[in-house]
Amino acid sequence: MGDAKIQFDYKIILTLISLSSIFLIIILIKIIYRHNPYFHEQYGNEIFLFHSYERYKKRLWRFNLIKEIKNLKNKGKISDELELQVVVGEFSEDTHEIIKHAANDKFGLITIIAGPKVFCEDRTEIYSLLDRYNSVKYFILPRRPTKHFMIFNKSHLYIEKPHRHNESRGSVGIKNSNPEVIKIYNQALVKMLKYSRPLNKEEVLKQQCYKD
Amino acid sequence: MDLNALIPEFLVLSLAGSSLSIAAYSAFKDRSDDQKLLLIIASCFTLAFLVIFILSFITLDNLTLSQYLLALIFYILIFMAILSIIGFIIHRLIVDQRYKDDKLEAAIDIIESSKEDLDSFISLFEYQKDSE
Repeated sequence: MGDAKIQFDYKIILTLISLSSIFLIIILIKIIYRHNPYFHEQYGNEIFLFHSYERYKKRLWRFNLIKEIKNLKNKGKISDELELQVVVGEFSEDTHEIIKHAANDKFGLITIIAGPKVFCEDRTEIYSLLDRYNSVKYFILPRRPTKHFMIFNKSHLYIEKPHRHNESRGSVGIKNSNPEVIKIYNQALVKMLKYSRPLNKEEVLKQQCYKD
Repeated sequence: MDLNALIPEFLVLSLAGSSLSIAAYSAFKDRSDDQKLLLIIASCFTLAFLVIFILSFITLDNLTLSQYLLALIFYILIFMAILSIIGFIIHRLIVDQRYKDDKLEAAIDIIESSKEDLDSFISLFEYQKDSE
């Protein structure tokens, strides 16, 4: 053991290290957990990519979006009637949920454009949906649309990757989408409406369906 | 200065460091490269604890050269560990940013491919209507 005595002020050094470590950790946590959505000037403020297996995430994103829009309406930030336009291959269970949420959350104008066929077991569900909500309008095209999208209150978009009726693919959600992009989809929707025909609840029960 | 008074602080510091490394690891999920890095950090903390144990045997009012050296080793190890954690987190942030950029690109691809074919899909109806 050496005899040399060394003055070493631990207290100050330890305090300094602790304080600087805490400071660094706070900065790091702020960097890691900061709100940093995917942004692209050409497309929109917040872009979300969903993989085909993230079914729950996709649904939740749309549910939350509907809630957010409803809250804005409740706060008086949106004065117009809330609108939802949907183009899907078939009016399936997944779409029912979204439509029900929107109809319950004060969406006054809901338009669904779908292909000529539905899944057989969904027909009664569509019947009761049309029966319950007057705000829901259902149209069918003579051919199954390959491009599927949803326009939430003329400002948010949800676009699906083209897929067959019996499979699920990835999709993209855009919050506060660029008006130019919305315009393209809106125009397409208006054009599709020209070729589609409205279906009432009684006609839904006779609609062609996929047996499997 | 009584060294005994310092040992609990050293222990707390080491424990805080090791829990931080575990938190960092669990935050980023397991990847083989990360596991290696975390192993290095964990060994730094283990060695730091070892120094603490040796220090705890020496109880003198003033520090001797050997005590000073051991305390210094402890600090260096703690510093290395903390720097490694910070390096690890920064590295992961860069990797995550790259992953994010790729995801954005994939999302844009989906939007573009959907947008481009919209008109051709609608023209199909026009064609069908004309042929009828």
